[in-house]
Amino acid sequence: MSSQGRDERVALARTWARAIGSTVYVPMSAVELHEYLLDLITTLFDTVAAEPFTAAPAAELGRRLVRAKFTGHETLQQSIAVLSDALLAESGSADRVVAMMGELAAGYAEAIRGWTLDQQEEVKRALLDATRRSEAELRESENRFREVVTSSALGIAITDLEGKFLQTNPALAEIIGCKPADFEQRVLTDLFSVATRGQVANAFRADGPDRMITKAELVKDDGDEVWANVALSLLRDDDDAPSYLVAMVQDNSELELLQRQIETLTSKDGLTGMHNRQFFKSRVESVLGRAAPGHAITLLHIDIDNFSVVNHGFGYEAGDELLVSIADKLQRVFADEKAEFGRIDGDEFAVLVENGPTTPSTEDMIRAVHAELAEPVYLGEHGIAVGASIGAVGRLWSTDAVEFFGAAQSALRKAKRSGLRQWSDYDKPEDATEKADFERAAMLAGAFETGEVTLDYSPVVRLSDRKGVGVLAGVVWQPRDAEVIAHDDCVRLAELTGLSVQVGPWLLGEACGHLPIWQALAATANAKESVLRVRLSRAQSADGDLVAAVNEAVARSAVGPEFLQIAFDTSAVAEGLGTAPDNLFTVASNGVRVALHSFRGGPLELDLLAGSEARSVVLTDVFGDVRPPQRSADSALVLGTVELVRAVARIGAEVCVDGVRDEEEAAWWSDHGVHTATGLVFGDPGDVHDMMARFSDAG
Amino acid sequence: MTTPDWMPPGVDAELPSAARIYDYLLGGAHNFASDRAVADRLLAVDPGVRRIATLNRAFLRRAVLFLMSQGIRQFLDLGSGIPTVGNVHEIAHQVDPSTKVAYVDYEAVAVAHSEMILAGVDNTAILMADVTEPHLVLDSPKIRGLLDFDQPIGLLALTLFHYIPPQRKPFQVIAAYRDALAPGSHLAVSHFTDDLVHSTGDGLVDTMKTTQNNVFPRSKDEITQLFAGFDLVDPGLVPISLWRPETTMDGGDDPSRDGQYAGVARKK
Ligand SMILES: C[S@@+](CC[C@H](N)C(=O)[O-])C[C@H]1O[C@@H](n2cnc3c(N)ncnc32)[C@H](O)[C@@H]1O
Repeated sequence: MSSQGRDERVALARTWARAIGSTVYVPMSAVELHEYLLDLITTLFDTVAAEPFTAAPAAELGRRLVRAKFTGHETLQQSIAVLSDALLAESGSADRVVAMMGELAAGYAEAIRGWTLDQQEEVKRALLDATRRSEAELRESENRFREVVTSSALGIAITDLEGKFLQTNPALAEIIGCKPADFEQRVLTDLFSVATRGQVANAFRADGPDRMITKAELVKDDGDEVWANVALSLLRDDDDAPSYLVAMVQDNSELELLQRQIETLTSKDGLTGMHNRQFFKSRVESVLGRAAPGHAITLLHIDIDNFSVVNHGFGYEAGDELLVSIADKLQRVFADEKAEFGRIDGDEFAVLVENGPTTPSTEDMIRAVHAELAEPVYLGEHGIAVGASIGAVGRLWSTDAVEFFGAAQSALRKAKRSGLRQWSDYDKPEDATEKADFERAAMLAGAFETGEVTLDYSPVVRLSDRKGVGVLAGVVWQPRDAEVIAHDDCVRLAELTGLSVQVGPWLLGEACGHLPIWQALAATANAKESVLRVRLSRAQSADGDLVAAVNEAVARSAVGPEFLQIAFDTSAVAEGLGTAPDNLFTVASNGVRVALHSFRGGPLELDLLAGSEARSVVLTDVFGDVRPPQRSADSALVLGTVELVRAVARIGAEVCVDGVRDEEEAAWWSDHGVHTATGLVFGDPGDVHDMMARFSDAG
Repeated sequence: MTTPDWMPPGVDAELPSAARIYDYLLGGAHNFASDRAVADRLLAVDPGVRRIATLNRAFLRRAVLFLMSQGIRQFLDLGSGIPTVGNVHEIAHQVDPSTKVAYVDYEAVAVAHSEMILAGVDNTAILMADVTEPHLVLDSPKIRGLLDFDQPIGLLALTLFHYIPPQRKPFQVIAAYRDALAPGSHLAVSHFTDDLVHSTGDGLVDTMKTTQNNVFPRSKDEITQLFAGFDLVDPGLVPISLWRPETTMDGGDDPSRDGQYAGVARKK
């Protein structure tokens, strides 16, 4: 072999290597590849030059290419192109080259068929293995899951998004007391009481949490209702859309029963889970005993006002339910405190707070309790709010628990006497009307929430020219399925339940929102009078939170306080009920005009008027059905009335008359120096739009 | 129902897989008609993809041999794919048969296949796991039983991270592996980039969307971040054919069509 020949072969090896490299990955280094190909080239050159000639060895070369994994799509083609040129140049015999390339291609094809089949076989086996394994894993995990579900003491159900049962376990049927097949006819929420269904239904909401644990009331097939822990998980598909719901139900009725028995025997109130009276007292004792001498401790004694209303109106079960919710509410109010709770009598609760750095003032605690209790509780569809009288004491100088307890009780008695948020005298409803009243009274709170109660305005008219100068704001209740209840009745009902102290601020707030409208309308009438008038009931007049509510409402109205007139209940101020006198003074000094309504006259009330900031009185239903114009001018009634109006004027106050029924009456009052009036003769009450229409009609 | 980017594919021969497409591009026959169809479409978009695949495999070989020369005798190959030609253990065992090689992939067929190939091969293991759950890999008895994490390890992540979408936090993933490695360990990475393709990268990316593996090309800067806590060895992060080429053949033609950046780095 010439050195010339060797150079050619090396060059050929390089060209061939590049051709192969462009068609397939070669798992060897360039040098290794070069050596490998050079070896093949030597054989080829030997073969083409051999005498006698046989092309057969080229077939083996084809196989070797495959064995070296030169198996690319175009590897053979490229190789033949490179090799045949070189071989032709070397041998000059096209026949030989063609024969050899034929052999090489045949060997390559045969080898690659086997190689491909092997590889395909391999990858198919891999696929099969993988499939089998993943199926086995799935089966196994399904089996495991089924085993857990079947043997679980928890009731388990998988439902679709409508709540239809797709799968249930035996425990669930057992808990409900039905046959597994019975689930076909039901949906998940059917398993729960009407009152707690909503909670369960919530779990289906796509925008809610995916997992929730709640307590809900199961309704067994025998009609029994039991509380159960319920865990609900919403399963989502790959697109994050909800697809299934898994519900797990733990029936703890038996457990609960046992627990209750033990608790009642020992320390706990069976209904609310709070300490019972005996135990609470011992807790007070031990807390007092162990607290450091300077450490503040607060004891609240809470008496639910006229709880009997609920028992009478809705039955004892509802009463119990309400008590439980009251207990919950109390615990919620003091959730951040170190506190102990007791139910110390039917409708009496007590809370012992060991004050910490963040403990609010006693006043704020009481306010928080009132506010929480005023949130209505729904018994069925009736929203019920309760009022309470609260006595509170800070720790006394002595550490005697009995004394401490006694002080709290006497504070409670004092609170009750003040008449705040309680309904004295109505303990024993005797006739049907009263009972109906109580029922409605209890529902009133819910009516505020549902929007059944709305504002109701009456026009206030200046008698000298009969021009509208303002409005009197009240409330009206349109129950869903009963007759309209007008302002006065609403207030009377609200006073029954202690709700009225919530109504006052509500009314003020809503009406003051419209104040700018009234101001604009009154300006056209050139009125110097206050344009928005609100009358407070006895309890509202005496409410300790009134001033704050007024200030807030005025701030909201964005016009001056002088456009608002608040009329206090004369008797509440006269008696010094709650904080009524202070309220009047403070409201007036904040710039709001004040008046006294239900003013009856007499030396004491006139004296009160003279000494107060009120510069206006409202005579309400002074004469009942009697009308002054129909009496002779020298009758005692007429003389007395005229004298009263004059006396008021002498003090420097104006008189407004309420309930004017006709033109004759209006004229009579006008003649006798009465300034403004309200009443049906000036138009029916209505909402803000009605009033606006009326004012613009009147010019 | 679309499969989220990060879902392990499970077993589905109908759905083309990156591993088998890659095998086809390298000239292997471990693939199905559906894989070949996608590969042909890729070739139509950019005939350079075969070269890209080949260059990657060649880089794998050079990187493993380089690491062996640095004394590394343990490899953890993340996203190892199907054992096509020139696997890590084959390269390594030629130099030193006692070298330990652990493969990790999450594709069931690739794993089953690897098991077949590795049956009876000492010092190797294959783990089926999603590499984006590093603790599953690092705490696996299979891996811990084979590799000694107190000694340097060659961590291989070749044509892997561009399959990992941003929401799987690729940089945190690699950091978790880094933290488990002893000083002196090395990391080798090759990563698809738009910088080095002439066809629009989107064409390839869109085509890969029809497979089990979406592709997220990254810039040179982003890929460099994968090496946080490591020092890149010469020549740094470069077009893959320019990483320590053995001969001009490895370089072949135009590096600006390499498709991938590649680099090797040493843990401080
Ligand atoms: C193209 S192959 C690369 C094979 C080999 N690393 C190489 O460079 O030659 C990519 C492999 O990564 C695997 N892979 C992609 N994402 C993965 C993940 N999150 N976990 C495990 N393997 C993954 C794919 O299944 C595929 O087998």
